[in-house]
Amino acid sequence: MALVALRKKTALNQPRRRQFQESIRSVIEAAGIPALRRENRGFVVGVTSPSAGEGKTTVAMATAGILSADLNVDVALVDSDFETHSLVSEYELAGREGIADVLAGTATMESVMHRVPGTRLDVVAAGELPSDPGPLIRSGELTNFIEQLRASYAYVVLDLPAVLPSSSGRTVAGLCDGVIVVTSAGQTTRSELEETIERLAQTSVLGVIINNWRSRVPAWLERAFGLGS
Amino acid sequence: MVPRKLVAHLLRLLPVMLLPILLAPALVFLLQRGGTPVYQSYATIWVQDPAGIQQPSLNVENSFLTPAQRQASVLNDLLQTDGFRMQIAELVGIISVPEGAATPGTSSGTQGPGLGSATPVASATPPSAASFLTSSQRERVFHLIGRSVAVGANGSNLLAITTSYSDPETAKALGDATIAAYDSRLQSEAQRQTVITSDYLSSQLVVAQEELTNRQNALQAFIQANPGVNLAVGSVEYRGLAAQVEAQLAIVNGLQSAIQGNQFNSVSITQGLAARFSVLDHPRVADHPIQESRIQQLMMPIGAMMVMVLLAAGYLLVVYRADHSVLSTEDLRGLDVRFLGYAPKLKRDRRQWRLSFRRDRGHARRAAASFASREAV
Repeated sequence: MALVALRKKTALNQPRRRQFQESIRSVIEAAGIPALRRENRGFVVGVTSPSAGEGKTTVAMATAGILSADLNVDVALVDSDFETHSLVSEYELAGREGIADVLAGTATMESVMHRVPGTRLDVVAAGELPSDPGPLIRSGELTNFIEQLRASYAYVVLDLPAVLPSSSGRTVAGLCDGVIVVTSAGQTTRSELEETIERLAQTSVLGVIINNWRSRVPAWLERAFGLGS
Repeated sequence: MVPRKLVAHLLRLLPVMLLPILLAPALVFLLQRGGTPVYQSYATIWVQDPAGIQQPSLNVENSFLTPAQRQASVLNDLLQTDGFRMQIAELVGIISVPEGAATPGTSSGTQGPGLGSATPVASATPPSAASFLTSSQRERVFHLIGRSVAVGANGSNLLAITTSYSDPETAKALGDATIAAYDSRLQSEAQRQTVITSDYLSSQLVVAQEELTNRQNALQAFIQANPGVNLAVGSVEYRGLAAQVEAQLAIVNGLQSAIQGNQFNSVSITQGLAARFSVLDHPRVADHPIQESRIQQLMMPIGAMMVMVLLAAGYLLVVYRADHSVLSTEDLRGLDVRFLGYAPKLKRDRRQWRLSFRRDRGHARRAAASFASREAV
């Protein structure tokens, strides 16, 4: 299995980083992901959002990383967003084989799995799909690939395409055991979220995360006015 | 409960909203300070209802009004007229007849209603300065006088005239001119009434005297026709004729007395008016402009601040109502979906900004990618 390298780290606001990590842990607990997993069968979690740029890749990466580190199990993080290829740059996967190659029959599952050094997390890139990936996504090959992952990993985290701009997001979400919807605070509108939930009606939606959240209201003001949060 | 989003918008927009709220009153305060100073001149006049001369315009029948209120009412009515204002402006010197144009001609003869309205205007009087003004100039002068002169009753018999202008001399002159113009109107009104009364009484006297002569002639004819009648005892017919003569004589005497009284009024108009319209405090030249109190000085800035606060509140409300984004759990109410939690916005360490200006995109993802490794930080 090939190894991948993480991009060079940048100094982050550490309290915020820990707060973010704890938030994702809370989300995993609130969604009941560990409890939903059945013995000897992997649990497939999809992470999507109404539109692009709302943080679904970040949440998917964090969810996969924390599941892997906290539960000390094998976790697969799959980039199924064939338009943005977000994971490629983060894990230096440029030019590597991905799902598209598996679906096309030119690669095997083992050859597209890339282990993050020092972890039990494997990352799968999206790969290069033809200009119209719809038929390939809707073919049984993708279902077979996910079933293979389910058999090999305790958790499979899919970075799904956004629901509203493309129909493939809903299609791939249908293959998941549960879907987390990510919204960006102050960016995602309520109507977009309603539309997303409606489109995912046939899917098991685990819940909604409000990402990029930053309270402008001081704590004392929250207490004084009893503001809900 | 106060919506969290409203408070969040309030805190976000606070600097933007505070700026006009603080700047507007400061600007208004500066504009007030930089304005033209205004000088005021005051006059107090003792007034009394005219005796003997009936002036319907003074509304003397209304016993609920004091003499000062009646005079103030008349003067305010006059001040609403273009003619009276032009007369004041001409007396002050705000308007004047152009040089070379002061040849005898037909005056515009604009006279206000009420006092002096029936005085015939001589056709040979020189043209007034107002007749040389264009309509826009005339309008400006009209509004200038209207703004500058204020009249009110002060007590039962005191009439207060307040004049304001940008220079103290003109303010005083406006007061003098108002008094002079009003005094002139009162005199001409009184003169007009004595003339009318005199004309009426004279015509009545002529008729009465003719009737008296006729009755005297009839009595004389009766005496000559009845020489044997004892005048001391008298007949019924004689006594009737004599009574008619006496009655008519009384009428003639009464009319003559009334004419004499009217003539007395006519010659004593000036003195009579002086007693009933006496200027106690003449307008004076103010030595300093009007000083507004602190409260008056602050009223406009506070008003501007209130307006800005209202505008800011309206702006905040519009922003709040127009924002349909998901910001907190409040915005998820009514949706059939579970809330899992907040994920905070990740920021780069502030110290790094001092050392490097590299682009800071994707640091949240890099942090998320590091969560899988126990050693990674």
